[in-house]
Amino acid sequence: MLILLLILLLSACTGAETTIQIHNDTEADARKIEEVILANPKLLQAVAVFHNQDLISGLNLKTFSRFNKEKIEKDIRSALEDKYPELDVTVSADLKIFRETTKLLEEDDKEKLTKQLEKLKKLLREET
Amino acid sequence: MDEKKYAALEESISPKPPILRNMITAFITGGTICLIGQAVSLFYMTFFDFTERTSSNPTVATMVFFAMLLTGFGQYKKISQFGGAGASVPITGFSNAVVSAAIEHKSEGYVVGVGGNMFKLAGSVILFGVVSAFAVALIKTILVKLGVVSW
Amino acid sequence: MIPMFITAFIVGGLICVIGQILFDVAKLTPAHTLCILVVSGSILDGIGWYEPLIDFAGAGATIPITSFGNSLTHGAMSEAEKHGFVGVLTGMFEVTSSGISAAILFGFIAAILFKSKGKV
Repeated sequence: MLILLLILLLSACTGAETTIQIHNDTEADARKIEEVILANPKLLQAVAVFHNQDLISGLNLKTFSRFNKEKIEKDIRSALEDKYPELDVTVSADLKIFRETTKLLEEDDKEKLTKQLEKLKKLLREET
Repeated sequence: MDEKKYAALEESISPKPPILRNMITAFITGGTICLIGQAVSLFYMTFFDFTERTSSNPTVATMVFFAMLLTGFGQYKKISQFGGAGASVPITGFSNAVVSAAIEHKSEGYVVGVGGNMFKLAGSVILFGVVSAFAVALIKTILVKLGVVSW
Repeated sequence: MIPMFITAFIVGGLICVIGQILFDVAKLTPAHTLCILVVSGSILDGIGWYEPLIDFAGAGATIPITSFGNSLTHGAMSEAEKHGFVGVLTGMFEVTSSGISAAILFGFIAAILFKSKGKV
């Protein structure tokens, strides 16, 4: 039974393709973020939302890479800040942020989008 | 009979604990409790506004609540007999110790009985937790001030 | 999602196995074992290894009593980072309150609701 568990666990590390989904309603170039994300083999999935002056990116990491979660977040954040100096960049590998950002992909109402983005940024700043 | 001989005699005839079997049951019990905790944590993340980092607070409170119910109805004893350390190491074991002491000493009154006895086990845990946290944080702060490590 | 449950099960189980070894091989009482585990969690956070373990295993690392030592130390260290030495004292119970408060509160409620089973 333990072997079955181990196999299930390791199946998350076999060469699954990194995928990214983007929602962009600004003039920012979405191809730059694709380069950054697809070049990093430790990510399973990523989702990015560009809106007004904000860029929020949610990441889904491969299981064993979760040990380096903080470092990966920092690396991606500085890479994105380099590529998009005029935007306010937020990056998180947190499951909740990833799910919420994925929901925002379908959101078309501009005001709701702004409010949800503010809510997400506030969530990330909470310590307890 | 002198002390050493008695100790040796006692050692030789007391039953040896089945170490491997205990390790397996502890692994299963502890793993299951953490599995339930993970499900609770996922529940809080999905239906409420908690991130992975902040979801540990309501999760721990909920697990303590479950342990209170199990202890109150007398079921935690059975889990403890099966799992050994698997039932005492998680936070549910801590809660079981506090709750069972509180229930047992209720007859002596709330102030002296419940209040005075609740922290029999919890007291040592909190004491050593605070002392070691203080020592570790102090050492780290000193090292940072000296420039040896960074935060 | 499934990997999260598996890592929680395995890491949580392993920490309990360590506790069991302290019970059986080292012949320590539950109180001793829990104190050793709390101090270990505290030291591991000082080195910086416990937070990545929580990122990896989720509830598998926050449910065992070791996470209590980790929260105390983590709170103390983050306050010390902001306010210097006094932060070591002020920050300690900042993040930990939910576990202890819940245990105390529910202990009291249980004492009101449940009847003692009596010693056999």
